[in-house]
Amino acid sequence: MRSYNLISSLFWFLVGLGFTLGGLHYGFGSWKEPGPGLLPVVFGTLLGLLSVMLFILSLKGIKRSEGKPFWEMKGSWRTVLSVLASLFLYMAFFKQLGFILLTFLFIFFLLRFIGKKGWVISISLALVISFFSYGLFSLLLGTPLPKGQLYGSAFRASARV
Amino acid sequence: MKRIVICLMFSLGLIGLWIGLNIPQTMAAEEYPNKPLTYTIFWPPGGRSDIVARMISPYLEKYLGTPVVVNNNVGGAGVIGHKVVREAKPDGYTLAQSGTTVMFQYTKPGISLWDYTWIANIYSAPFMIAVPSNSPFKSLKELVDFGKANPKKLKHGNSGTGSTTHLGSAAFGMKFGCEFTQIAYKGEGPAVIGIASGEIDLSFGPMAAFKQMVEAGKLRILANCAPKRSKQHSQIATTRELGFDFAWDAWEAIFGPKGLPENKTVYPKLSEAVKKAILDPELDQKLLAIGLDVQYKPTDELEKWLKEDDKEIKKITFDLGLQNK
Amino acid sequence: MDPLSGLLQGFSTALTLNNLFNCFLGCFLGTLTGVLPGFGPGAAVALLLPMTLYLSPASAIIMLAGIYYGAMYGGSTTSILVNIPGEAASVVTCFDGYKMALQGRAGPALGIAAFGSFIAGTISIIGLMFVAPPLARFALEFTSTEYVSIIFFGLTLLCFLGSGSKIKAFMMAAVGILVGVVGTDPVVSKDRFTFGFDFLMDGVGLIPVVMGLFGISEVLLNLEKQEFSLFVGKIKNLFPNLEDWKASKWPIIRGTVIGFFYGILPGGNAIISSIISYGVEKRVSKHPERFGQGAIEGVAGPESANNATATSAFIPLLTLGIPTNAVMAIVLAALMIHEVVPGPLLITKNPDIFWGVIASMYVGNVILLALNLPLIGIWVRLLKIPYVYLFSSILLFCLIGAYTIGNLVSDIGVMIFFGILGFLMKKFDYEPAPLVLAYILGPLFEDNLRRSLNISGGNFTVFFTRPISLVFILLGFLVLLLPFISRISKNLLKR
Repeated sequence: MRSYNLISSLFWFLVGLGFTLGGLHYGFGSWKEPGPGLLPVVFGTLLGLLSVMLFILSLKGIKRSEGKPFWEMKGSWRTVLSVLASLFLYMAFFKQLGFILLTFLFIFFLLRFIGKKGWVISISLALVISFFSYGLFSLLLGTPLPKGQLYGSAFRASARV
Repeated sequence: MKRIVICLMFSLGLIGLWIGLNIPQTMAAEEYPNKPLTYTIFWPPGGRSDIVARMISPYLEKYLGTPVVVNNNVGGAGVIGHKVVREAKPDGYTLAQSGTTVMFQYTKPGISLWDYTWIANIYSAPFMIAVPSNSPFKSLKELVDFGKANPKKLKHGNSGTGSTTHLGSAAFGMKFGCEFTQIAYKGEGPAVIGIASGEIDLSFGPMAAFKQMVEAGKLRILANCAPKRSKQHSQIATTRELGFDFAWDAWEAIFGPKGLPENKTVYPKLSEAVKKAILDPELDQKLLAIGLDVQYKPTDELEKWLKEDDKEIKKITFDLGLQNK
Repeated sequence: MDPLSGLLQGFSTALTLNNLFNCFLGCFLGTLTGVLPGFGPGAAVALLLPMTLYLSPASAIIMLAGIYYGAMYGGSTTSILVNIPGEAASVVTCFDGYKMALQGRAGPALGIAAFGSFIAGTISIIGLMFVAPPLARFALEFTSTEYVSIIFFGLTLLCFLGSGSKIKAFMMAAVGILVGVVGTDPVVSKDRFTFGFDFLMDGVGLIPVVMGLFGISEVLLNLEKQEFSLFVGKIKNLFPNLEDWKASKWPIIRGTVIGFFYGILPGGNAIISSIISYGVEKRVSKHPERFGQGAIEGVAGPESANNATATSAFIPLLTLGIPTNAVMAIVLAALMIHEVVPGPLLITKNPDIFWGVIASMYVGNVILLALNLPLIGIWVRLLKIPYVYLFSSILLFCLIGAYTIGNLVSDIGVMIFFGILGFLMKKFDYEPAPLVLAYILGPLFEDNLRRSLNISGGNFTVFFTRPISLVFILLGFLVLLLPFISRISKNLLKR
C-alpha cells in the first residue's frame, strides 16, 4: 500500500543513514585490511538507496484507492498493548518473583483478561501450566530458573525453625 | 465442573511434589562442600578449554565429594564471565578455568589478574609451528630466512586477534626479525582448516589442534616451542635445538574469586582436592592423549610465574598495539 | 574394510539393546529440543555431554548424533504449526509449512517433512559410506574466498524466496546484515553499535531475533485481529496424499543432493542448504507463484536438505577430524574426552566406532520416523485447541526459551523488541524472513570477506580468478539479473 511504503521507506532510510555514519566513524579500512566499518557502510548505503527507490516508486505507481491504512482501521490495539505490557512485566520481575509465581500470574492475566475466560478456568489452567513448564524446563531439561526472593526468604525462615 | 476439580487436584498434587523435592536442601549440613560447585569456562562447548574442563570436573567431583557443573559463560567474549567470577562470594562454590586472563587484562575492559585467587595450574601445551604439507619450507631455518628477506609476506593464521596464538607468533616474529602478516580466524579449529586448505603459510598452536591434520598428511610440524622435547612427539625438534631460543605455550589454571585463601574452612579442602585431581594419573593420561602436558603449579609458584608472564604479555600486547583503547 | 562388511559390523554394535536405547534417547531429546523454540541441538548436545562421559565412545556418539538430526526433524514441527522455527535451519520451512497448516493441511506438511527427512537422511548415509574420504578432501579446496562467493549466492537467493515486493525483501536483507554487525568486531575487537550495553557485546542473538520476529509478532497480529479461532474446522487428511507425493518426489531428491554436498563444507550450515533448496524448487517449478501460499514442494525440499546436511556434516568430522559446525565441535570434544581422535585413521583404528555410528544413523532415522509419524496426529489435535489457550503457552515458551539461552533477562528484552519490530513490519507489508536469513549469513560473510582480502592483500579480483568462487559469483549475479532477463526475453518474444 502506498502510504505504507512512503512512511516506512523514510524510516528505513534513516536507519541506513545511521549505520552508514556509524560505519564511517568506525573506519572503512583499506582494501588490504578492511575495517569494522566496511559492512555497515556498504549495507547502510544500500539500505538507504533502496529506501529512496521505494519512496520514488511508491510516489509514482500505485493508485490511492486501495483501502484504508491499518492505523485508520478498527483494530484491537488495547489487546496488543496489554499483552506487550505483560511481556515486559514478565521480563522485569523475572528474577524477583521467581519462575512459578510469575508464570502463574502471567498465564492467569492472559487467560482472564485477554482471553476473557472465567476465573476458575484461568486460575486452574495457570496453575497447571506453570507447574508443568517448571517440571519440563527445570526438572527434565535442567535449565536454571530463578526461584525468586520469596522462595529464598521462605526457606531461610523455615530453615531457622 | 468435574474438569475443574480434576485440574485443581492435579495442581495441588504438583505443588506437593514441588515442595517435597525442595525441602531436603534446606535441611542439609553446613560442612563444605554441601552443594554443587560451578566451574566456569569462557569458551563455547567443544573447544580445548571445554574438553579439559569436562575431563577434569569428574575428578574434582571425586576429590571434593560434590557435583561439579561445567558452565560455558561466553558472554562478551569472556568479559561477562570474568565479571561473574570476580563478583562471586569466596565461598568455594565458584571456580573457573582460564589461560587467557593475563591477555584479557590488556585487550578487554574491566579485567585484572589480581582480582582473583589463582589456585593451581593444570597443564601446559607448548606451541608447535605448523605449515601445510606442500609448503616449500622444509625446516624452520628456511622459513625464518624467507621471513627475514620478505617481511610481512608470510601469512600466519591465528585463532583470533589478541589470542595467545597471535601474541606467541608475533613474539617469535619480532624476536627473529621475520614479521608475519596476521590472519585472524575464529578459534583454533578454523585456523587449522585454513592451513590445510593452503590459504595461509603457517600457524602456531598447541599440538591438540594440529594432530588430526598431521595424521591426515595435510600438515607438517617444523618445531616445538618448548624447552625440552615432548614425550608424546619426541621426533619433533625444539626451537632451541634448531637455533632459536624461544618458548611459548598455552596453559590453563584453576582460579576463583579474591579472598579464598582467607576462608579457612574452605580453602585447605579446596586446594587439596584440586591438587589431587590435577595429579590424578588417569586424568594425566587423558590429557596427554590430546597433547596436553600436566604441569601442576600450586598457588605460590603459579602466582610467581603469572607475574613474569604478565610482564611479557603486557610488553607484546603494547608492542603490537593490541591494547584496549 | 569394505563398506558392506563394515556396515554389518556396525549393525552389530548399533543394534545392541544398550545402543538402541541410547539412540532412542538421543532422538527423543533431539526432537524435544527441536520442537521447543529457543532450544537448539547445540543446547541439547551441550546439556547431555556430561552424561555421555559415562558411556563408551560409540554409545556417546550414537546418542549425540541422534540428538542432532532428531532436532532437525523436530525443528520443522513448530515452523509448520505456529510459524516459529524450532531451530535456525527450519526458518525456510515456515514459508509454506505454516500456510499449509492454516489451510488445514498441517498433517501432510508434517508428514512430508518427516518422510523427506527420512529419505534424505538414509540416502546421505549411503553417500557417507561410499564417498566420504575423497569428498572430505575435496572440501579442503574451499578457502575463505570460496565461502564469500557461496554466501553471496545465498544472499542473492534469499531475496527471491518471498512472494512480496523484491525491493522490500532486499531492504530487509540489508537490515538483517546491519543487525548482524551489532556487537564486537571479530577481527579488531572493537564494539560496534553496542551503545555501551554489555548484553549487546555478543550481538543481539539469533534466537531472540527469530522468536521475536516470527513468534511474538505472529501472536500479536492474531490478537490484534481478535483471531481466537485460528485453526478451527477444515483439518483435512493427516498424511500426504498421492498428489503430494508426486509433487514432492523431485524436491526431496534435489534437496538431498544439495544438502549432502553442502554439509561437507567446513562451516556447512543447514540454513544455507535449505535456502538453496527452496530457491531451486521455486525456480524449477512450473507454478512458482504457489510458493509462499502453501506449496508442499517448499516444505519437502528444504526439510530434506537440512537433514542431508546434518548427516553429511559428520563426514569431515569422522574422516578428517574437522568439525564443521558448533554441534560437531561438541561431538568432537566428546570423542576426545574418550581418547578417540577422529581423523583418517579412525576407520582403521576404531572401525567399531566408525561403522557403529553409521549403522546407528540408519537406526536413528527409522526411530525418528516412527517417533514423528504418530506425533503428527497429536500435533494436529493440539492445533484444535482454541487459540485462546494456545497463545498464552506460545508466549510463555518463547519467554522461557529466550531466557534459557544464556540465563540473561536481556535476551527476553531483545526478543520483545524484535517482536514489536516484526509486528510493525508485517503491518507495513515487509517480510521478516530475509532479515533473519541475512542476519545469520552476515557475520559469516564478513568474517570470510575480510579474511580473504587480508590474505590476497586487498586483491579483489581473487573472487573472480578462483574457479569455484567464480562459479558461485556468477550464479549469484544470474539470480539477481534473471527477472530482468526473462522480462526482456518475453518482450523480445512478443515481437
